[in-house]
Amino acid sequence: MANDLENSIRSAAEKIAAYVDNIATMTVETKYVKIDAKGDTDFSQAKPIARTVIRIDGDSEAILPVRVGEDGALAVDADLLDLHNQNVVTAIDYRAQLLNALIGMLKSTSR
Amino acid sequence: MPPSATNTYVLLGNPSQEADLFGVWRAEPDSAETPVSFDLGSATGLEAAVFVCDLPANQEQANTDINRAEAALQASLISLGVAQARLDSLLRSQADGISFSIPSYAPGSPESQLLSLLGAQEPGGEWESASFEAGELKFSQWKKATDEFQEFIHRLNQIVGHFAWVETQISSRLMVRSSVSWTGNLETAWNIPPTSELAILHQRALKLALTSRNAMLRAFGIISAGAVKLTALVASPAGAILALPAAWKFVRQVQAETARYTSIKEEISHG
Repeated sequence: MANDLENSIRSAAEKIAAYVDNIATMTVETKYVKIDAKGDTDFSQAKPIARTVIRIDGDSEAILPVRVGEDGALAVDADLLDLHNQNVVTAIDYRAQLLNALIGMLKSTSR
Repeated sequence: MPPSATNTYVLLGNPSQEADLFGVWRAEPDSAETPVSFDLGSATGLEAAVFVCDLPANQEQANTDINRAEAALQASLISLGVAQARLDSLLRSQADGISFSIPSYAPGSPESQLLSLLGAQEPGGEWESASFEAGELKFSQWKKATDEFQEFIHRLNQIVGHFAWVETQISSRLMVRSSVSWTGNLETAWNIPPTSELAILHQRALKLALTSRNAMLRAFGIISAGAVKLTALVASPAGAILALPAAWKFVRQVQAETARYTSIKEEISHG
């Protein structure tokens, strides 16, 4: 039983340590999926609406949803962009919370 | 393709101290069948924790359910802070050389039970007796705490190390699903057209799930840091392993105590 516990704890600790290696970029992608005639949904058919990639070195890139107007001009779809931006904010908040939790862990261990 | 293994947590309409995760989520047995494809691009075939928020179609009731869950999770986070402060206080009193006499802690209090479990002293202020009954009782308490802690670590491994799927359903019909890696990569697929009300509900559901995930990490930090310091109190060579479930039990007891206090306070304030 003690060995199981030790292994589980080691596994959790390794995953937490691996976090540091995986924070270089953060990608937020928003997709849509259609409800079919029967009212069913197949999420494997989801199509992308927008994507934002944020890099830890400060670079970021965004692919935005646009519509082509009658005159051929491109216009950003504000509603979809708003939906996507909410997801970006949530992801940024989550990462900040996660970093705070990790910093809290380090502080409480070293106290 | 579904995730290779899942732990499903269902949001409770009425948060409860007895819930499996922070008074908010009920753990469901693993399910082999999934009602719809889980495919969300890069997040396929991995282990995942699935957070399901099945909300009523009535917007007001849906908001009430989410409000309750947010309040319960917030209370749970506060109680984690209380547990950390009480554990630190107990450890400081030891470091300062203050007597560890258990009578200074109320019988049955989390502090008294922690010291008893670690074998520092028996309840009632007497040093640990060597009686068979006392040993049996301590072993069963330790085993229970160890089993519960093992379950917590299993959940932590599932929740922290892998993808989290967060689903918002309306009357059991899936409307939107997000897949979140634990480093924050987020993919969201919407049934169209998404309404602004549904967008807000899903953002709140997502925050509930992600805050729960971070709370697991915070709880693990408090328990592991506390256990390292508690090891000094344990005479056994297996000190650290003994201290971990003891610290876990302490944190859970303080959380339950804080929840009871909050509940009584709310009852009084509502007359």
